[in-house]
Amino acid sequence: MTEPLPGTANPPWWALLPSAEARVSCGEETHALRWDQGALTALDHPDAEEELVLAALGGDRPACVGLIESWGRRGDDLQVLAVGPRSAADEVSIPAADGPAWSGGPGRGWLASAPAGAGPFGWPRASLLARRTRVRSRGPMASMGMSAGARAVFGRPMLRARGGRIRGGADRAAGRREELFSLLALGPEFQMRLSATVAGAWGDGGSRAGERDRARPALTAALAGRLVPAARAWLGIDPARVHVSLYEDAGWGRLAFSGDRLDAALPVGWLASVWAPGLAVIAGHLVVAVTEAAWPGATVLAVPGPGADPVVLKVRAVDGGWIRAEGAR
Amino acid sequence: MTSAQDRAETYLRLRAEAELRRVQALPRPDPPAPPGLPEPLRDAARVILPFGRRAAAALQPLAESAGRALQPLAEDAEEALRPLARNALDAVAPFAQNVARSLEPLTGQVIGTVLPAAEEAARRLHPLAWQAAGRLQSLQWSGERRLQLWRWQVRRATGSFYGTSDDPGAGPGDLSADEGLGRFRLVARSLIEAGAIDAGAAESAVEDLAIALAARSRIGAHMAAMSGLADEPMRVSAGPPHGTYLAVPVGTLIPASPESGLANVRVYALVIGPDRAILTASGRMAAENLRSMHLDPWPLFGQGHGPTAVDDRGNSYQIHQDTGWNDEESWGGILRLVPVPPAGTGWLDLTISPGSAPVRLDVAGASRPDDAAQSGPDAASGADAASGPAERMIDAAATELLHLAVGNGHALRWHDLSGIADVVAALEAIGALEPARAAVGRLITLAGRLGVDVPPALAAAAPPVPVELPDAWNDVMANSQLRDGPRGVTPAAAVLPELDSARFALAGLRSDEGGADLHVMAWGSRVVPHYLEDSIQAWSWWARDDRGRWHVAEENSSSASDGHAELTLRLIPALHPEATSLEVAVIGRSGQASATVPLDWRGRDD
Repeated sequence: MTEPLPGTANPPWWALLPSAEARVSCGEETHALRWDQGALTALDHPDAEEELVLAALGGDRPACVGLIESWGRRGDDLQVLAVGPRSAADEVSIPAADGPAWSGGPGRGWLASAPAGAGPFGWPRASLLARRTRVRSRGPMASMGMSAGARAVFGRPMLRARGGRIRGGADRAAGRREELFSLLALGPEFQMRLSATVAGAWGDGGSRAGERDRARPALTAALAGRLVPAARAWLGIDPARVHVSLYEDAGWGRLAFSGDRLDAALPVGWLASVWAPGLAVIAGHLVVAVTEAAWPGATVLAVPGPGADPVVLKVRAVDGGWIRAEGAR
Repeated sequence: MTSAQDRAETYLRLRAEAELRRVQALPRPDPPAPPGLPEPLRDAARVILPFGRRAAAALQPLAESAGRALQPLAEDAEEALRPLARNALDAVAPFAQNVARSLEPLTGQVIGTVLPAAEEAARRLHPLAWQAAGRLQSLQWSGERRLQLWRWQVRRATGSFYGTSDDPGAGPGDLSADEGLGRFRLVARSLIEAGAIDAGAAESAVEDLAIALAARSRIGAHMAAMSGLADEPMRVSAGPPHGTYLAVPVGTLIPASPESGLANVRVYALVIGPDRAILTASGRMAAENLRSMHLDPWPLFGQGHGPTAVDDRGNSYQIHQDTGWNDEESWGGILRLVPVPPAGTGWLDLTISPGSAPVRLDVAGASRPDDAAQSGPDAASGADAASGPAERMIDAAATELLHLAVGNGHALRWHDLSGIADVVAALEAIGALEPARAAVGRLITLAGRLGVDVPPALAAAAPPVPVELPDAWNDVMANSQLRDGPRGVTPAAAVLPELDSARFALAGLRSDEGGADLHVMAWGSRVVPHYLEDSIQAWSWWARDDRGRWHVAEENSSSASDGHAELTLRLIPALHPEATSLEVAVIGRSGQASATVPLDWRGRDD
């Protein structure tokens, strides 16, 4: 069994996630959404905050602004981790919107979108986009400049029936599903970033870290769902032999091997800082923590094999993946 | 959240992860089709049906002759379908596609001949379908499960052609994504029922898995949309409406109107609850009015005025048919009184048809429940008093198996215990099985006696020492072949004490040589059956007649809405021919409620 190392001053969870951009239908036009350093912005709505206020008063809510709002609302929602991708190979492809089947009512759906531009890993370089907006979402309702009570998806009232009355649980559930699918439909890069946002909210120092007790089952499952495929890629181990728990003490965590069984305890922050950037398994090592990040380079703690202590690796992002930049020390 | 609840939710969520991995290892299915008919058939139906309705009315005589020709087929359908089932999946799909392709260009030609006959065939087959549905429902087989078992049968049958019937992968444990989700929901419901997990947490886990599967196109979008709705009743456990519940025995045979499709009407009982008043009734079809069956709507009580009632205060009531069934010989159903008679009503005079003598119903002297009596875990029942909800749940699975064995032994061939085995494994994993281990032993002993396979997960949870079966279970099996039941009907009206936020009222019993059908009215959200999925039984029913013969009961048919259900229970084996009273008990999560009714036979309806 490897022993926990002393805790390290980790960089922000988004440090190894480069910016990403998606284009979405917004009214009659196609607009851009940009994720950068943990925040999502609507590039074509410089007065988005005012638009949100107007929407709260009954005006139209542009789709872009609705997505920003949804992103903020779901930025600490554990359902994102329950539904979102478990690995880069796990294709979460939202079928074309067909309204009633998903939402339980006609006329609903989400707007297809796709990443735009190209850069490392297929996402656009931040330098390509210069416009900023005042409406940003870094996490759960953060920087929204609006009340949490205002709700919208794609500019349409979500919880109100045609007659304006609040409808029951089925509609609320349908609205939640629709909202989540609208965010997942932004594409794999945004799926990873949204997952990382949620994990960051529940990780140490996150806005929901103090409530982990009641969320431990969902967090444990979220961790297991992503660590098990990584362990399989690392060791070829049978998923049924991997037992995962949430690590909440100081240090990176714990890996214990007993026969053909692996007991793994990692902090929920691992999902945000290691798994989401695609760093889980590098050069035959299981990465357990990021100690330094300077995109496109990083220094990580990684376990080379069963029973071994973690070693320090320098890694570098190249052509949509990560490679070992230099040997372990 | 308690550590036990935490453990249960963690188990459930990790199981969801394992299920998602399992499903993703399955071959990717074709894109999900919309619910309902396959698209080619739907297109054909869209074209044909408007013409077909008109054609059906014009070609009624042809339809009737076609119906007569099809009648022998209908009578033998159940027997005929059983062997057909083996090849049905392979055979039906290409046939359906060919039919659709063929029908489209031939629409104009076929509507004159095919549709009337088809409509008549459907009409004739309708009672049979209800009976079949009732039987299947009594087996607690969901649509998914039926399909699963059917597929299993097909695999076995086709395997025998190719010499691969011993393929270990061709068993009912080989679940599709839909079936796996159903199984997951079953386990989640069971953990709620056992009190091991908060309903909201379990519902959330089910919904999350459903959405995760749908987002990977592993199940249809509608399945994800349904997941939350299906679970709503278990989260919101609404009790019965507050107020007075009465059950009035009637048992009177009343001649029907000459215009009616019935020769007479037997009213079994009147049940009055705070929100509804119901008469249970049956009738013999009038031979001279058989043609009326083809009218839509069917004039059950003639074309004029329907049944009415007045009370001792001069209030008038209308009576409407609520639900019902019929075959060539008889009709049975539920009649609703509108409005509900107010508290303090002394009697009601019921008039089935204009001019017929009214029948007086003694409301003031009706049976009222004694909520303080006959309720609790120590009251007499068929099974040993269960010590907790998990034990009751497993005993309910055994009761279902027992009912199957006694009532329809050949169904045992297709009955598998993998669902309850999964539930037992889940309870074991979260440390909640110990109080129910004896029930696992009883189930294993019973399965062994009946020759039903015991899944390894169930066998692994067996107590170290074999468990004997309760006397009542042995008694039911010992009498399973008896055909000495009295033929007749009896009012059998009684309101049971409230149990687990549910209220049941007995509302008439009809006995035959092999068993008896007992009408039951029920209130409360937990009485609503879950038709569309695997589900654990929330209630077990037992009865014992005053000659000491035990009877196990299962739902034979039911309808439900708005936290209210109307059930028909099939009691087997036969009532003792000399029995004069019957104690009926329903066993729930926290204990049981019972009532004793006289067996006051009022003659035969057939």
